[in-house]
Amino acid sequence: MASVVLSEAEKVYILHGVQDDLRTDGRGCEDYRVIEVETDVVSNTTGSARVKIGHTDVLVGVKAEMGTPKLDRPGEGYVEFFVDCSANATPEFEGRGGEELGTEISNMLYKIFDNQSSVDLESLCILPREHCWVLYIDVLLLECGGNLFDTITICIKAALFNTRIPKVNVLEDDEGAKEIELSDDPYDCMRLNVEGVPCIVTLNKIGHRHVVDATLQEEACSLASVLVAVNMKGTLTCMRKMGKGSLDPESIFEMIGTGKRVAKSLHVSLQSVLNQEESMGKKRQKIGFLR
Amino acid sequence: MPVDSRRVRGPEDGSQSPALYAEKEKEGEKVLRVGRGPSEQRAVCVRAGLLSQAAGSAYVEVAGGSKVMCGVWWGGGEGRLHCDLRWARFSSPSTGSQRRGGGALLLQQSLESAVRMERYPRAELMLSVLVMEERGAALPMAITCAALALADAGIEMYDLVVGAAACRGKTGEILLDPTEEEEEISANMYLTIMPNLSQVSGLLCTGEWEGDSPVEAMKLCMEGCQRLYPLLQQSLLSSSKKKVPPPGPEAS
Repeated sequence: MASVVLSEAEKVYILHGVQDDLRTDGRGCEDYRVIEVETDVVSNTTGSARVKIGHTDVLVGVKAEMGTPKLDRPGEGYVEFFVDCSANATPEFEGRGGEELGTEISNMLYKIFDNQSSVDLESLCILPREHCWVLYIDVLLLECGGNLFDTITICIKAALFNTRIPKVNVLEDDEGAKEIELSDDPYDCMRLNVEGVPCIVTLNKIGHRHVVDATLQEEACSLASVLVAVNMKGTLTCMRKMGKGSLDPESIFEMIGTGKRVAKSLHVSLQSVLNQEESMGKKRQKIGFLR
Repeated sequence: MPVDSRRVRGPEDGSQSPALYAEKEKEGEKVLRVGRGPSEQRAVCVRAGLLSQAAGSAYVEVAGGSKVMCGVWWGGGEGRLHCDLRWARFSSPSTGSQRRGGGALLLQQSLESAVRMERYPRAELMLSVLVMEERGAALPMAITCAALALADAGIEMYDLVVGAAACRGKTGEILLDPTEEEEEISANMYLTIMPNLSQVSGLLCTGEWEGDSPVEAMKLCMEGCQRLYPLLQQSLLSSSKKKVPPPGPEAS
């Protein structure tokens, strides 16, 4: 991951600030930076979104393709993740450099979506054992400025909200042969219920306190962090400790509590922004990438 | 798709194996855990220092359950702990399940917080963990085994790392040390701690955890780890006794 080098004095400055609940950019310990969300940014996808938090910039594209259901889950579609670390983000990602981070993130994404409530996989099934929709979720890291995991999951949720899968009908003739027919109307499509889609909240332990949405500088001060994936209902769908340090169990309990509280307000505001953006329809001003 | 002409191709409209159509046991009717309390672990057999060629080694076996072996070697690199986690091909009935992804990362992070790598700036530690049989909760066992092997090799550590697993069934009950079937149908948690310092060094949980259940499960796991700790100490003691010959009459 992108790294910064901090002197001892700078670290102490950040640490003291966190102790007094005032971080270097003026935020409190449980505050996010300004989050910019834009959906429907790539026309070639079934759904796409771009999220920018501070200097972290992520683009997610969802592509729906028809495939065969997995053998052990014949009545469900499935989701595939791929994380691409662009060398524009940091020179470290050049060549195969970003591969390890990419696999780590996609492993984590598989884990947080590995439950019944996240995405309604049964609705992706077209014909049991024969045809289903496969959602390829491609994550592109454009810029890394701390707090990658949160940004990616927010972006995935926005992209899934934006996803419109064409409706298909299964026709069966007298001999039992089945035929799949795509609807003629391009606006006749199925939408996904994103209520169960979890978002990750990363809690970085700095000194005796923990902060959400750490910048690169703050991440450099933290030896251990806890990733908590929480959905709208407040159910934890994944949790993992990251980093070299170890943590006191009591502080982990506190972090779970904070994570749930923060995730709740995050989900509410994200949902309202997404609804608002959609209600504007075509009138919405497209912002795009270069400003 | 390109076709390999040398291979005998199956029929174009091939079907799936009938075994896949077979109805699985109804999950609701299944009685979870017979003959063992929810916070009861399976018996564990631990042995340290069994590989003659390794700097340190350990073997952990759970009664009727997982079998894990680990060896530690000195490598040629610098200042690095290199972990290699392997699952034997025959370790579980189904090949290559997805939930295993990320296990090596948990192993690495759990051990990194315990091993004092700054004491070995010019050395590389090669750690190879082999899961020979997986019958539930093999990952935390593998971490325990790896820590034991490191201790057996005489590597400086803050404390041993002990792992435990818990799972949460559909009805909300939390079970310690789940078997393979129990792991399959529920939410899982893997926790590793350093018992003497009571610090959590690794944590991974998947599946749905409602309300306060993650906290409860963590506490249960920590209890489980504490119970395992004396056993590990004992095995280390006996392996050291074997290595160091008893003091002769002239030495005393």
